[in-house]
Amino acid sequence: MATLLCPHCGASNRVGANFCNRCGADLRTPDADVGKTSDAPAAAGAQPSSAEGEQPWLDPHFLGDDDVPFEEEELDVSSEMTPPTPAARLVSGVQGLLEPLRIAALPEEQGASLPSPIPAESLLNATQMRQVRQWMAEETFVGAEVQQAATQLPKLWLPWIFLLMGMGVILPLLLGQSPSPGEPVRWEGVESGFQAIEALPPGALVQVLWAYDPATAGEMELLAAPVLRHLQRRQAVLDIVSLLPNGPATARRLFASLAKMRGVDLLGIPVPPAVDVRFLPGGAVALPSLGSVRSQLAIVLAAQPEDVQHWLEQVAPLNRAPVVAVTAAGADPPLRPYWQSGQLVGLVSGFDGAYHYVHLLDETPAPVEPNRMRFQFAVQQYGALTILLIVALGNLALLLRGGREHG
Amino acid sequence: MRRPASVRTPWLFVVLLLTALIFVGVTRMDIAPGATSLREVGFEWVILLAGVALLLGVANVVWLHVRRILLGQRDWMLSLALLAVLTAVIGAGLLSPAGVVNPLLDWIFDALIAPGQAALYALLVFFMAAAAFQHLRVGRRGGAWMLLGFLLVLLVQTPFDGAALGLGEIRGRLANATQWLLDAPVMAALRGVLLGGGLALLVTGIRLLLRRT
Repeated sequence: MATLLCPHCGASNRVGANFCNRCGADLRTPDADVGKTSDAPAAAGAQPSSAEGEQPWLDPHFLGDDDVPFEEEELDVSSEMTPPTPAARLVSGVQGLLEPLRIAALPEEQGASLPSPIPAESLLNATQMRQVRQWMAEETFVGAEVQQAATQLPKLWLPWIFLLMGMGVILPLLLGQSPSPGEPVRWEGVESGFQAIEALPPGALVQVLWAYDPATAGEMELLAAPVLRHLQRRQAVLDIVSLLPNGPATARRLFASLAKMRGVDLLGIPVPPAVDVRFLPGGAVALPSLGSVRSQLAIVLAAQPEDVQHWLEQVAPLNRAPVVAVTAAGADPPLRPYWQSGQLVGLVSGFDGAYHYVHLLDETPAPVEPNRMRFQFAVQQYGALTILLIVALGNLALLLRGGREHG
Repeated sequence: MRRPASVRTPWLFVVLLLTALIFVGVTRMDIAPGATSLREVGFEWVILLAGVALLLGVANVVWLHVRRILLGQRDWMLSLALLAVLTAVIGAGLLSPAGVVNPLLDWIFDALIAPGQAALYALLVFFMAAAAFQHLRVGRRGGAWMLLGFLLVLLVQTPFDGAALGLGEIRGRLANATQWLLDAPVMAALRGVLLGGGLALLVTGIRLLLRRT
């Protein structure tokens, strides 16, 4: 197959290519088009055999077919009246590989007859040469420093940090008692989400996108449980869909636990024996197929903000159903503008959202539920305090070291 | 005359044109009568195609690991374990009349998958702690700002007992300050990034369609 050799690095490229596949050099200059086309076998045969064995290009004096000696190139350029204008590009003047710079001769070459481009007095001695070789074999100096700092950390600190963090999380378990959880901040969006569900007539069709799996169930179930209980109390008909393979099983598990720990207020409400949760393969691409469902409300239970954004972009414009997002605390900041702009009618997020939603429900919960919520609040408090302690220790270590550090 | 490098074959142009038409169709299908059902058929095809792709992926995994076992490559025992679990799960789902809600699959999910995923995700807290120790330092470049933002968000988002910490009213003001920070400067930057990315995508798509690189 006919190929085009790059005038800079010698790589074979497809005829008609604008840039070299290897070094990105511009191949559109007239001299690249004319006379540079060759067949691959012919090009391979054109490589000169040298003493370097199978890699003759490692020889500093190696000249390929398309290489022009530096002095001759200078002469050619100076003899031409109109040098070729390089094509416009974002970064110009950096094309191809840099010419190897010969900084010193090897000790065994010092007596050889090869002409050296460096004066003899600037040659390095053997010790310096070994040092240079070591530097050349390593990464760059900056990378070496960073790597060294990173490799020192696990030896000194990481096990202690992990131990401290583990103790901070396990401490509530060991103590057996949790401190008062306090009153979390009441962010806007919880009450409007509650009102959107409260306004549903009995038997209303509600779409639920189940966008979390067991990995984030620790936080998400605390949020999803009161919202789903509220939907059950309003006797809504749920159409539950998940794009995650483990989503349906996660949903079934939560509904089973809801059936076990039903509050007194829910005992008189009939609950379907089995919850049908559909799995849609294809990810977000399959979401618009849900736009044909004429629901009265959509609930997105998501650990990541992208799932809510996908729903708002691809489903909400089709069926015009109002959307309530029930998300992890980390997803709250990116979704807050959607609530402020009215694209979300409610935003319930994190432990704070769960706490306030439960209080808005004003129901008589099963005895186990307040304990579970209090326990999770306590674990989060201890975890946050531990991280604060770790941050303080890090700054203390910096203070004791007495200086700034690179970053 | 050389061909443009961006569109190497007419087929690519056809695919790109089809993509653009589908994009327009998805967003503006309501203007054409009867086109809505066409769109729904298209999405059903997408779901079907994704299902087939999933099956092909399973077949590929099976073939890959069968070959590793037959050739006795390194860690072939792990491949054997993978195939055994895969066969058990698929067999249980296919043979049981209850389908995917049969007790064996429920047990596998409750006893293996759910705790495993939760445990792996929980490990993140240790790496977050290590990262906080390493990088949230006032001596680093920009570290003071990062530390300030971290403390502010942590203080507001964590349900601390404000009275016990002596924060009281201050915590409410901090919450308002955090809200403003998120609404004004942070969100302005985020929207700028989103808008810039969207415009770049649009321009790149148009340039591709017009055969200009």
